[in-house]
Amino acid sequence: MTEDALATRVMDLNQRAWRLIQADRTGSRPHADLRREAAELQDELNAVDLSELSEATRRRLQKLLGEAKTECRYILSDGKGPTSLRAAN
Amino acid sequence: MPRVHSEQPRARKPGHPRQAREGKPHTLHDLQRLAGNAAVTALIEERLQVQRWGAIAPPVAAPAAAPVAPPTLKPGDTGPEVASLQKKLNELGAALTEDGNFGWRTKAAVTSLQSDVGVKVSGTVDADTWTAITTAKAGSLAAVGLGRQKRWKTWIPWAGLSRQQRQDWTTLGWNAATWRSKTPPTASSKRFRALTDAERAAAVRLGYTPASWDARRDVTAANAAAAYAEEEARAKKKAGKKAGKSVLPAGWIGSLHARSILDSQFGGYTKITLPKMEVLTASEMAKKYDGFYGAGSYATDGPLEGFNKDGVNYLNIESQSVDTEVHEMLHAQAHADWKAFAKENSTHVNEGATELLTHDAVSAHGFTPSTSYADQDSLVEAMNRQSSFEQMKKALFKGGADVTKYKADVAAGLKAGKTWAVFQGHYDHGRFAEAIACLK
Repeated sequence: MTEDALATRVMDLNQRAWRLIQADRTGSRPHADLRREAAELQDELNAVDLSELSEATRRRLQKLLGEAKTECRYILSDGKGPTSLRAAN
Repeated sequence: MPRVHSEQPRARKPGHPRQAREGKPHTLHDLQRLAGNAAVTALIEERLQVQRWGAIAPPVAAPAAAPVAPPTLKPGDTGPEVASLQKKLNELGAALTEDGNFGWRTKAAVTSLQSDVGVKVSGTVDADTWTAITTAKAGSLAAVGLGRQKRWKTWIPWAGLSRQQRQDWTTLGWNAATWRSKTPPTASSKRFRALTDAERAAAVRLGYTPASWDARRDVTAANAAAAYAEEEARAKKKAGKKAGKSVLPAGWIGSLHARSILDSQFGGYTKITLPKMEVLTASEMAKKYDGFYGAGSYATDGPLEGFNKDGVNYLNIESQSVDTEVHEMLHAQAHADWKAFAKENSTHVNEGATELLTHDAVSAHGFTPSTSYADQDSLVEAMNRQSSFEQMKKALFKGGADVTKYKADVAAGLKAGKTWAVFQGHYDHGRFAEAIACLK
C-alpha cells in the first residue's frame, strides 16, 4: 500500500471511530450495535502497519490511529475507561 | 491582486529650470542627449528602488529622492515585498518558505524579532521593525521566542531589566523614576479585564496571571513567574527521568502560563477556565492507560498523544509542542454551539480553528508556534476568507448567532454547483485540497 493510500485508509478508520463515539454520546443507536462495530473496527485498526513509513508520516498517522483505538476501547468498556482528547473536549 | 500596503512611487515632475544649477542638465531629454538611453533608464530604476525601499535598500548613487517610508507589511499581505521580507528574516535565522504570503509563520518570526529587539510587538512590519530587521545580526532570530521564561528577581533596578521588560513595564505606565520610588502607575489600579490588549499582553509577559494582577499580590509578579517556573521545572524533571535529558521543547508553556496567555488574548470573548491537565512520561502514560484497560493495552494502542478520563486531560510529555497546553486548553473554552458545528462529522474544522487561535495567542506572546494541523489550518483559513478570522473567533467562543453567521458566510462562498454536503464530504474524508477548491 502506498503512503497516500495508507493515509487515506487511516483517515477513514479514524472517521469511523469518530462516528461511533458520536452515536454513543447521543444514544442515537443501540449500544449493542456500537459495541459490535467497535470490536470490528478495533481489529481493523490493529491490523494497520505503519512501520514502513517515514518518521513524520508515521507520527501523524499514529496520532489518528491512537485516538481511534482509544475510542473503540472506550465504547467496549461501556464508557468506564479513558477516551480520546477530541471526544472529551 | 497583491494586497500589500505600500507607498507607490509617484511620477515626479522634471526640475524647474530656475532650480537647476548652471551647466547642469535639467530635463530627461537633456540627460538622454548627454548620457544615452541606457544610462538614464538605469538611473531611473535605481531611483524607483530607493523610493520603494527607502532605508533598507543599499545606498544608491542616484539623484536625491524624497525619503519614502518602507512598505508596511502585515499578516494577509502577499507579493514580492513579502518574499523579500521572508528572505531577510531567513538570513537572520528564521526558516520560512519565501513564497510571498504573510501567513502565521511569517508573523511569528516578525513578532519574535520585535519582542527580542524591543520594538512594539504587533506582527506588522512598520518603519521601526524594518530598521530592526536591517540592523539585526545574522542568526539573531534563531534564539528568539525560546527560553524566554527567565526566573524573576525580587527587585532589580530599572537599568537591570531587559529591554522587553522595560518596554512592558512602560506599557503598564512605569518609568525609571516611578520604578525607583516604587510608585504604582494608574494601570496597576485597574482590574485585569479593564486593561487594554497591549497592557494585558505586557502583564502576562511579565508573569502576571489575571488573579495575581487583580490581587496586586506582588508588583514584581514574582509569584506568578515563580509558579510558571516551578511547573515548568517539574515537567522538565519528569521528562528528564525518562530520557536522561529534557524532551520538552524550549520555552514550553505550562498550563498556568497558558491560561494567562488565553486570558490576555481572548478574555474579552469568554471567561477562561483552567481545565485539569497532567503531563505524563511515556511509562506513566502506559501505567495509567493499562490501569483502566488492562496490561498491554497501551503497547497495542500507543504511543498516544493524550487521553481524557473523568475530566482530566493526560498529555504525553514526549509529544508536547511549545503550545500543546494552549491548544488543549482552548478546546475547553469552545462554546457548545461551535462544537456542534465544527465537530459535526469530523473534528477537522474544530482542530483547524483551534490551531489558528493557538498561533494567534502564542505568537502575540513571543513564542514560535508549532505546526500540528497544517491541512486543517489551510481548510479553516480558506473558510475564513469567505467569512473572517474575527467571525470564526466569535463563533468559537460565543456560539449562537455567531456560529450561524459563520456557517452562512462560508456556505455563501461555495462555488456554483457545490453544496455544503459536497464540501464537508471532502474534508471529512481528508480530501482537504478538494474541499478548499469548492470555495470561491
